Order: sequence, then C-alpha cells, then structure tokens
Amino acid sequence: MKKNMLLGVLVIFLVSLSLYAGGTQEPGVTTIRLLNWFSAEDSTRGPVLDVIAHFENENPQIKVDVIDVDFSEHLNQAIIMNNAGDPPDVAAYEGPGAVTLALMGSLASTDDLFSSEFQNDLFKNSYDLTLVKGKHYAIPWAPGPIGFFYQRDIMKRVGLDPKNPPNTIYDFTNAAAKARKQLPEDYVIFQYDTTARVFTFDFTYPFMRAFGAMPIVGDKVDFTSPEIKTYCEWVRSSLENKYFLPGKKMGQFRPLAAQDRLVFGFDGSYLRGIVQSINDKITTEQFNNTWGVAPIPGDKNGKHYSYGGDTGLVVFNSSTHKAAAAKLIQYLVNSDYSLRNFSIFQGWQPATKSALERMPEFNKDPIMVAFIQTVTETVTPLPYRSDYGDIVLPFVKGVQEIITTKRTIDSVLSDVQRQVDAAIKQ
Amino acid sequence: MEVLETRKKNKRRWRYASASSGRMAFGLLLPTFILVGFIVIYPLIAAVRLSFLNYKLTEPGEIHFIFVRNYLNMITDRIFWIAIKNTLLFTFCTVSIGFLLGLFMALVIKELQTKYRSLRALFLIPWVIAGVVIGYLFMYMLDVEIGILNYILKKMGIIESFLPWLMRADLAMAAIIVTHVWNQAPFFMIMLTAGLMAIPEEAREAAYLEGANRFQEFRFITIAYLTNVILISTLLMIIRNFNYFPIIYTMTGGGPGYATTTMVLHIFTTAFEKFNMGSASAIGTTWLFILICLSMLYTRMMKESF
Repeated sequence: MKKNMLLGVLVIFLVSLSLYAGGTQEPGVTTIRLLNWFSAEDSTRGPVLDVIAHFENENPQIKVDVIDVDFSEHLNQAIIMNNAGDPPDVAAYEGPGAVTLALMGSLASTDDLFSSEFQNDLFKNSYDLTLVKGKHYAIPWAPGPIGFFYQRDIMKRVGLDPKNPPNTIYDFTNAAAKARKQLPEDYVIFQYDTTARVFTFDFTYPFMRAFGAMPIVGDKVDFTSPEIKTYCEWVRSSLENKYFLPGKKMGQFRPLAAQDRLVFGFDGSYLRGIVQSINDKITTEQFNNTWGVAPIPGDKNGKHYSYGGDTGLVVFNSSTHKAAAAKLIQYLVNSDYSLRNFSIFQGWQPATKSALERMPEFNKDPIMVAFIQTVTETVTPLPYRSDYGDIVLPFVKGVQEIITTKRTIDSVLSDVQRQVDAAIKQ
Repeated sequence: MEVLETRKKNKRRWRYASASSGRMAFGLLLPTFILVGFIVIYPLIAAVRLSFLNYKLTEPGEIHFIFVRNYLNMITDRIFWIAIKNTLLFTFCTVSIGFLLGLFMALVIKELQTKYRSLRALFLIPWVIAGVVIGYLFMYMLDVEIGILNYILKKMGIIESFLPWLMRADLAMAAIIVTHVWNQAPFFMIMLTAGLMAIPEEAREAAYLEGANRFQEFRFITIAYLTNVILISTLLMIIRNFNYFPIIYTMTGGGPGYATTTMVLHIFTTAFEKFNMGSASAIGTTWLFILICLSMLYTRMMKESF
C-alpha cells in the first residue's frame, strides 16, 4: 500500500515537472520562432543576436526564439519542419528558397502582411524575384549579387593591370593562366564552388551564361548543348591547371582571401565583413585598397551576368503570430539600428531605397558603391520551378564527375540528361 | 493417495501461477509493444504505402496513386545500381579489413603480459567516438590544402603535390573505407578477444604435443574455435555497414559525383534533397526487403551456432 502511494506521488511529480518544463509563457507576451543561419555562423552571430535583442527591448510584448541552422540545410530544415506540422513563424531563405516554399503553399503572401508604403520602398528587381503566380511571398533582407573581386597587389606582382580587370571569361582565363605560372602552389587563383548543392548551380549560372549556355528555358531542359559542353571543358581544364581547389564551398575560400592567398574572388559585398571577422588585423581601409570590384567576367560580347543571391525573410502560413512576425521582419530589414549594426557592419546592400537616403554610410563604402552601380544591374533571374532541385542536382553532380574522373564530357552530360528527363516525367 | 492429491494440487497451482505470470508479463510488456508498434510498424507500413504514390513535398497538390511506377523508375535509374555497387564494395572492404585488423589486435593483446592488458581500453577509443566526429576529424586530416596526411606524405617524398583525397573518384572511396575501418576494428577486437579467451589451453597443448607448428595450431585450433564468433560478428557488421551513414555523409556527402553514394545516401538524397518521398520510399522498401533476408540468415546461423 505504502509502495503504491509512493509510486503514485512519483508519477504525479514527474507529470507536473514535464508540464512545467514544457514552458511557461508570460501573459501578453508573444513568442515567435525565427529559423536562420546567421545566428549559427561566427561572423554574423553576435551582430544578428544584438539586433534581435534590441528589437525585443523596443517591443517588450514580443519575444524571438532563434533557431540555428546550417546555411546548406536551411531550406531542407524549413521544408521538413513545415511538413511535420511544426514550422517556425519566420525563416531566412537564400535564392530559390522562397519560391520553393511558396510553390508548396507553405507561405503567407507578403502583399497582405506589409503596408504598401513599405513594399514600394523595397527595390523592385529584388522584391519581384519572390513573385509566384502574381503574389509576393518574401521580403528581401540583403540583396546579395555576386561580384568579381580582384586582388590588386597580387595582380601587379604577376604583371596584370589592376586598373583593367578581365572583362570577358576568355580574358579572365588568360589572366588566371598568367597568375598560375608565377605564383607558388599555395596561392589559389580563383574562388569556385564545385560542391553538389542546388546553391552551386545558382552560383555558377553566370559562368554558364558567359559561355552562352542556357540549360533551362521555360519547360525545356537541355544539358547536352555545345555551350554547356564548352562550360564543362572550361571547369575541367581550370581544375587540371590548378586554378581552384575542388569540392570546396564558396565560403571555404574566404580564409584564403583573409590570408592574401586568393587572386580572384566571386562573392558578395559582405566579403569584407567576413574577411575581417577571420583576420581582425585587416582594417576596412586596407581591404578597400587591396580589393577591387567589377561585374563577373562576361561573354564574348562583354555582356555580364550575376546571380542574385538574395537573402530574405518569409512568414509561414500556419503562423498564428503573423503581425508580430511582420513587425520583426520590417525591423530587421529597414530599422536604423539593424541597418547600422548589421547590414553596414557586414557590408550588405540595403533592401530599401529609403535606406540609401537615410544612411550615407552606404555611399561611402567603395565596395558597396561598386556593387550598387555596376554589379546589381547584371543580376540575371534564375529559372526556378517546383522541380528545380530534381533538375539541377544531377547536373552539379555531373560536373563533379567531370572534374574527378576521366570520363568523357559527352557521356557524363548524356547521363545527366537521362536522369533529368526521368525526373521531369515522374 | 494423499501424495497424489498433493501432487495434483501442486500441478494445478503451478499451472495457475504460470498462466498468471504469463498474463502479468503480457500486461507489463503491452505498453512496449504499443510503443514499438507506433514508432516502428506504423512508419514501416506508411513508407510501403508511400512507395506506391507520386509524393513530392514540393508539389503537395499532385499526390496520387501510381502503382509500381516508383519501383520501375528505380530499376531503370543508373544511380540505384551505382549505389548498390558502392554499398557492396564499402561493406566488403570494411568488414574484411576490419576483421583482419581486429584479429591482429586481439592476438597481439592476448600475447601481452597481464600488466599491459589494460591497453585494450585504449584500442577501444575509435569505437566509442561518434561517427560524425570521426568523419569531421578525417575530413580535415585528408583536406587537400590543410590536411596533415598530405603534409606528411609530401615531406616523406611519397607524393609530389597535395592530393584531393575526397575529391578524386578513385581515392574518395578508399578514404572512406580507411576511416570506417579505424572506427570499427575495435569491435572485432573485442569479439575475438572474448572468443580467444574461451579456447581451452588443453586443446592448444594437445596440438603442440601432436607436433603441430604455430601456424597449424592457429589454423586448426584457434580459427576452428573462433568460427562461430567470426560468423556472428562479420554478419552483424555486414548488416550494420549496409546501413551505414554518418562517416560517408560527413566526409563526402556521397560525392564526388556518385563515387561514394551508397544505398542509404541515395535514399537520403532522394527524400531530403529532391523531396521525392514516393521514390525514396520505394528504394527504402526494396532495401528493407534485402536487409530482412540478411537478418533471417543471421538468425538461422545464430540458432545453428547455439
């Protein structure tokens, strides 16, 4: 009898503990969950958490529960959480993430959540990248076009003219060859992502365009064109000539830039912020004097292309705190505190026109000015569709086969096309 | 007569007690059965059902029954056959090399003096480290630019320039195998050490008395006594390695290209990178069937051994 009583008391205690541990919420306080990779990365964790803390101070009735995720996994995680019935309220996305989630019916349209004044303030070419069937589904936070960084000192050292950076992909290849001949092996000539991710296709799309390749046009998908073959030959020969390190993510080349061992970079305006977080001895002035920015080397006619690389924020349909979520997004995107302590600090471009007018600091940074004046206009929309992953993943895997095996490019591309055709038919 | 009555009474009591304890055992195990049923049987049935549907997470409005089309697509997909080939290669190499290394370690430790036998614990360290940690460890050791292996090999003059261990199709699988052998050899060591301890000394002495040399003693006595242990441990590791994920995913993600894509990675990529749950379920169901056959073989061999 005594044993049963003790057992009963223990069970009641454990159940009460679990109910308490399940979370207590102060009355009148709304908690919203933000899924993002900025709080997971060393270079951005401090600033983004600081901005969020400031938002909470200014809005004491809203608490933000930050969920960290690796950049490469952010879309997977959002999709899985949504399908499991436990999506966050707000999530950061990059590139096609917003369109993918919107096509799944997971997102709330931003047309209904934000004032027309705020929406009109956003840069149209960035905001319209989030259009799906005539409605917007995300708010751009940091337009992040990829530009061409060139290391002026190293260029001078190898006999290249830093005042005339390579204009076409052919000029660029010649410049890379010249630099390789004269630099020791521990220097990497250029930054090039050859990992097997959807992002890799997006990042390398401007280079495909520079060779005249457009593998996805509307419903037509063709990875066997002569232009794609030329692009693949260029990637293979670039690796054979040791211009870049194989299998590295775009971000894994940034420490080389911080160590002055990278000649040419393909990165966003935020490269300075990241390099300084790796090597805090590099001042902003030093970085701006060392690195120049130009559009990514273009096609034979000198037409340049860039990948948008926009980072933005979305609100999930199932969120019961959409108003609070919208408030957080607007704060992160356009408040003076966030612009000054996160965007400008990191070297990001602003998403709103009024930010450029309110914050003269944006116009004092030569890297930022170069991006706004020369790189942003070269952004080419990517051919997103609901089966985008099904189509581009076989191709990036095919590129890996091309650079790591002796198989002929034709046979690899034929296999890729077969896989893509099968995926589209399904 | 009285004795007979007592015996009958005792038998009745025993039957009642057995039935009663059987019911109690069933009652106590029922929550476990329900839980296992919920977290194992239900997802299994759901996965088999999904394998007959066109189910992509990115197209929630297009879910419909497509009978065996997922299975047909699977059979005609060259990546499926590459994954099977890679899985067989990975499993065969890691199990055979792991076994040989584990046997060597067990024999060495057995010959050590008693005061040094606690070194056995040191050999266990690779086994207890999580696969993901080992994957990252070796990934950085084998890195093309900063990896210590390249540095040592170049200093020794074995290579002229740094090798991309994880980004060359011919080297990546070898790198994965070496890493995994390092991780799992201690398991074989432990199993075989236990087996070696069970060999009676008299059998060895008798063999030597009969004129057997060291190699003959090892072949006809040691290996003979270890047969069951070898069978059970290798079969267990074959089943484990058929399903192995952490080290491969961490180090190469199945790349470069499809050079290290095993069945489990293929299922993962199809489900969580292409979001094609129907196809992934078809591949998973097929793989489950193959593993069930292997498990039945293992169970039969266990029964025969014992």
